[in-house]
Amino acid sequence: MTTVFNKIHRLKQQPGWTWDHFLTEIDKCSVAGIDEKTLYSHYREPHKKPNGHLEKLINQLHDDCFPNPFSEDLNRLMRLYNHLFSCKKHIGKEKDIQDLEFFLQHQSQREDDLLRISRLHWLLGNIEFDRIPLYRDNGMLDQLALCKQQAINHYQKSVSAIEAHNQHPAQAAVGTSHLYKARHNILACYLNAVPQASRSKDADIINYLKASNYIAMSKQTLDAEPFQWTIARNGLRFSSLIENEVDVKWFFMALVSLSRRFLSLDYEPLNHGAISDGEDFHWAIDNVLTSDYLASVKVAIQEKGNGKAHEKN
Amino acid sequence: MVRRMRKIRSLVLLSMISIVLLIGGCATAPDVDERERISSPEPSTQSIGVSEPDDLKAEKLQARELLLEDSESEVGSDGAASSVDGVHEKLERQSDDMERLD
Repeated sequence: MTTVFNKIHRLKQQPGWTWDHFLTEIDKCSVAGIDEKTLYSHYREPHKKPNGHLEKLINQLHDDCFPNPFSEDLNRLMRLYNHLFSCKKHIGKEKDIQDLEFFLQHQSQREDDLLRISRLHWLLGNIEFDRIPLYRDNGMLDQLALCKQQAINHYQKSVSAIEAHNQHPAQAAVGTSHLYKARHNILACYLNAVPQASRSKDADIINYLKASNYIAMSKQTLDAEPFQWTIARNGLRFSSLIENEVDVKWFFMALVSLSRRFLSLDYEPLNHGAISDGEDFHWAIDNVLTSDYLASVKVAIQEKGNGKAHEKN
Repeated sequence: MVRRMRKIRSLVLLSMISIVLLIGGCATAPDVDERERISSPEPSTQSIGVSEPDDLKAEKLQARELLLEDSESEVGSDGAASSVDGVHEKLERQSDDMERLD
């Protein structure tokens, strides 16, 4: 899920988007606008939870500047499913999800438009994806294997449809960030299907991680959009699982460069746990992110900051 | 003598009832007056459309830079993040699963 933090950074990264321009664009969208300080703090702090007003305004601006390549009707259907899935009071939720799934499967077979096919399979993948923790935590291994494989198949079909669409020169190509997201979901299926304690030894995860070139793709994405701290955090996670010291340091520095708060392994960014709490990060914490290493990074950053201050003076 | 005893007994009974009522009343009384529960609106800064002098603009720019940089000073000596702003939300999590992206 793209956070308000990421959207503010992506908007700000555009040429000509000074803070004055940013605030003017916000004022065009809403009479009430946003308090300047609130905007800055959401730009700085990955843990900040936005209020509804800010979220709505930033989403609106982001959608105007970076239009979604998929049809609005299917995006809304996806939003509807997300609300249905997260609703705790909905009686007969699983039955309704099954009905929706039935409709989507039929619809995906009828469609000709590649982007619509891609989005329908993406949503079908999401439905299977969301069942994984339930089957895993209840030890329902046959159902777990089935829904994991179906989720992967749907996401793979979604990727293939986007790639086929991008081969038509007459049509506007879908950006690499969408392909990255779909591939990220495939890797997440492999990871989430395995209980935390066994992840570092799971051959399926390690094999897919190497075959998919996920680490290199994550680095590429971070070079273009360094504010994507969730990508850096996942890069750190997988580098730790495959016990790669160089990559652990690379992704950790990516996090720290974005916010010094990540120097504390107890720091909890929005909707995510602390690195110190995640079992997937154990190898990195024990072997790379030691207190001595963290102290040396802190000193290096301070020296860098002092150097910049001297240059200014 | 009996009259006196009855009087004393009824007095004791009355005082006991009033104590019980008093305790009951305290327990059910609201903590805060509803009218006091009015939240203050978030201040908003709106440009007023009047051109600013150059030194004022420079001051504003400096203040903005300070606002953007002050996050670094908020990190404590041990590197721990402060959560005084009250927006550091903790969600209940079963495990550190990867979230799906839409």
